[in-house]
Amino acid sequence: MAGEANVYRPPLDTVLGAPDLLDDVGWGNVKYYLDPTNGSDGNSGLARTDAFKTLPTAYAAIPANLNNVLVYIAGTSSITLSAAFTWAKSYTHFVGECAPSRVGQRARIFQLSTLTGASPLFTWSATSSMCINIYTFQGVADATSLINWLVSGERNYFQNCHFAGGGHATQAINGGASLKITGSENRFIDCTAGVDTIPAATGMVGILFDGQASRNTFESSDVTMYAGHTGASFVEVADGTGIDRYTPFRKGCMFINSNSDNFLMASGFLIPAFAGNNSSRILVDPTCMIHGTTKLDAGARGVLYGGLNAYTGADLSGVAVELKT
Amino acid sequence: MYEYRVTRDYMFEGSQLHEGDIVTDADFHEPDMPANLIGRGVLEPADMEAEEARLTYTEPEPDEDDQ
Repeated sequence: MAGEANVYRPPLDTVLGAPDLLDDVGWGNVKYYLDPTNGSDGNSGLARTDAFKTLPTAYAAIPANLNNVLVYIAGTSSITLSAAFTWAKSYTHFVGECAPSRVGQRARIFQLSTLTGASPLFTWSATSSMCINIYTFQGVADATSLINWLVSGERNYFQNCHFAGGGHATQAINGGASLKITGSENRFIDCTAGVDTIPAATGMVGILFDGQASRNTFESSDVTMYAGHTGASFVEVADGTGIDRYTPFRKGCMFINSNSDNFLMASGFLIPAFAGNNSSRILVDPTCMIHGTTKLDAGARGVLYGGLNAYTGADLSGVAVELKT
Repeated sequence: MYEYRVTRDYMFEGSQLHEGDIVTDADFHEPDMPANLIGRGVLEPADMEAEEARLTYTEPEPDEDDQ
């Protein structure tokens, strides 16, 4: 039994020209539906009016590797996870049907208040899959759940997703991150990592790279923080092998500390010492903006490069220079 | 149970919050609502000493050679 013919087309992409991923010409195979407000786990999930109610049940019903799509129909009810969740099915896509607001999209996922040890709360280990228009907020009084999202898979595509970790004071602490990436060759467009409502303590970061994460690219994406201490950072590389090759931030990425009148980050990018002759780079293009830091890379590790109007002379205009201060 | 102090009178989704009241996470039906209200300047942590301790905690600096 196939899904409904009236496929959902996310109202996105007109500016950046990303593909109309669910066009009925060919993208997307069977559509499954998840509707926390009106669905039931006894349903087939194959029609809007026969949608599943919970994410684990809906996910379990989808065969992997067929470019099937799970559509999360947003409404007055949300998904609250009672256990950490892993999206491990490759070539399987997850799309929120809701207004594509930049933050707090209403196709929303939360951590149950009594769930502990959910670190990460949501793991995306699939490859070659898409996640669009999904908001995941990790904000409960639990200091054992510090990583909101982990992307460990490769060659995935994330668009207009908000990875909101550290959404509770108990979790916005050292070791916390809204988005941890250990996979490679993933593309993030119009995404947001972080919250700007809970003061981030020292060691809390927006994006954490680890495990030789390589060739992950960010376009028109934001990292939003509310530094409650100078030790909070936008981006952290876990160790000297945390990234490999290149990690570009392109096309108007913004790094915003919304408490800059009170706390400037001591280092917007927290980068450890790398092994000698290591050419791994974080590259920030000239359309990006960083706000609310004292230094960009206080350790002056030679890893962070960008234009950002830091031109060193007429002959070098537009040539990326190392961002140390 | 995490407690918040209401810093100003505020109508939120049909409920009136009164300045000085203490509310908890359990008073909100979705977990992002307290953070949302903190962002609007409506709530603040009730235990400011604990909040200050959380924010100012610093780990010992690792040796450069250990990194």
